[in-house]
Amino acid sequence: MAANQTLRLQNMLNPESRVFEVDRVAAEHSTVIRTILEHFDESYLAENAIPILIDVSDDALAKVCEWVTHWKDLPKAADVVADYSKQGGTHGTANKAEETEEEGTENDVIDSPWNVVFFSGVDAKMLYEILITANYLDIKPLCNLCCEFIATIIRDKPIEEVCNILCIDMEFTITPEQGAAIRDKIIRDYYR
Amino acid sequence: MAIDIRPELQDSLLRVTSRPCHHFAMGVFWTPLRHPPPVRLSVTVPFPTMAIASLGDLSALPTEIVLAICSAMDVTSLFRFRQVNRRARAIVSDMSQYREIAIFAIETLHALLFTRMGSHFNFTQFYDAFRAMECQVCGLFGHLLFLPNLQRCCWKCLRSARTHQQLHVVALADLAKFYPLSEDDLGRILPVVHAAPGIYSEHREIVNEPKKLVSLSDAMRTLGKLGFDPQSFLQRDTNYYTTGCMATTAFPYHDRATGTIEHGTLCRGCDVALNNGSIGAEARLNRAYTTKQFLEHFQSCPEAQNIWRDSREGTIPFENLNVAQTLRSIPWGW
Repeated sequence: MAANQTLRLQNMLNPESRVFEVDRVAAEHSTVIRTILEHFDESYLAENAIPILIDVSDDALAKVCEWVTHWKDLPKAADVVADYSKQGGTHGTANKAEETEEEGTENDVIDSPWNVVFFSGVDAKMLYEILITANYLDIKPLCNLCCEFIATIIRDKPIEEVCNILCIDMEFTITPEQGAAIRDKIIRDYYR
Repeated sequence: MAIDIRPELQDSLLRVTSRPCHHFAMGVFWTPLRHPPPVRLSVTVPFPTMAIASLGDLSALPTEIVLAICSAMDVTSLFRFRQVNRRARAIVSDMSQYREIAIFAIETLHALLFTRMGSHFNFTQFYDAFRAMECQVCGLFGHLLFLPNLQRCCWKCLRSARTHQQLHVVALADLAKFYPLSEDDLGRILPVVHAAPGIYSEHREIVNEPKKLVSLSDAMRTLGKLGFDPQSFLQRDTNYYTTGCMATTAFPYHDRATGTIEHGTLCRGCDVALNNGSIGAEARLNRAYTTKQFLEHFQSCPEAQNIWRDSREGTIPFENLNVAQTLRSIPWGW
């Protein structure tokens, strides 16, 4: 297998989509692309782009490509499952010291300042698109990262604010007075 | 000597020879409020009416992704997210981890939210602690939760906290007096347990004021990183026990194989052994067992077997036995 082979990805749902060029090592973060690589001829892949069949913008796809390219030396999720015992420093050169422990690597990815920069230029809509793409391509670490990031957005916020941030319709049909009345009734019925 | 116990006699065996761990007797954090059915129900299940409102931005995501986001949230945020609307309520209530905890460990959830520790741990961490069975200090069955670092522990380890530094808890006010940092500063860098006033420890110590507590090992690590000297603080002689009880709460274990919920059982035979001054009785006292562990322990506990024989295989209630009269007069009895 040519490790530094370049793969081409294209969003087939969007006719004007650009073709993204990604290193094979980086693209293997995606379990879906791995499976495609196992089932297609090298010659076919040389001529055709790998189709992506999901309705996301090119910008989001570009972000995902940027992420996998930056973390291409990270142990791949599928490999970790396959040979858990052999795990440790066999894949990458950059973070060799941190790669000795699987958990350590995971935390490093989440806490890495590079990710903070990566997400800082991303607005909410883009974040969801990245998450959908990562989920479609089955890129576990990026998926977890996005989930963590969304969870931190609504962390320690009162309910009203959570609704505002996520554009959720408030559905409260009872007034605070009615709420207090229900609470009083429960206290009266059960605690006295 | 092994005694053959028929399965139908197991219940009466447990009734006669063991006693449950009472939160009150242990003197850990717990609320005397039982959780009445409407409260339990409202915490566990979604509303019966259809969810009409959408989840806003999150509705673009598939449900399994929303669930992944939910398990990445901290406990307090998840609880709050659940209150946003009916759909959020339905999604969170359908999370298997959430449901298991809401059904079996509602008191612990309550304590976690009450002491404001919920915002420091994400839900997966809480659930992992719930799934684990062993005390993180001694490895035996743990039936308590040490709130500052969300670890399962057992009463024995908590009582001998003097020797187990991991279970030491210190008041924020004491730290603030010792180091040139205000309570607010410390509160920002350390997870703080907001413990309620009440009666704590089996010595019935009355605490009149709410207290802010932090884990000693956490505090020392963080202060050490900030360039302060942790050793000088450790040299003071303090009683960590009561504060330890304030930062600990009951944490039942759900045995999936049998479907039972284990609050911890203590052996009455071991109480008798200590009263008789048997060798090694100190070590056995106050050890909590699961039901299965207790039945194994019973086979090797001659005193418990004696009680069983005295009660004529459970036909005489424990309270009417001679041994119960003896135990009543000593402090560690029930």
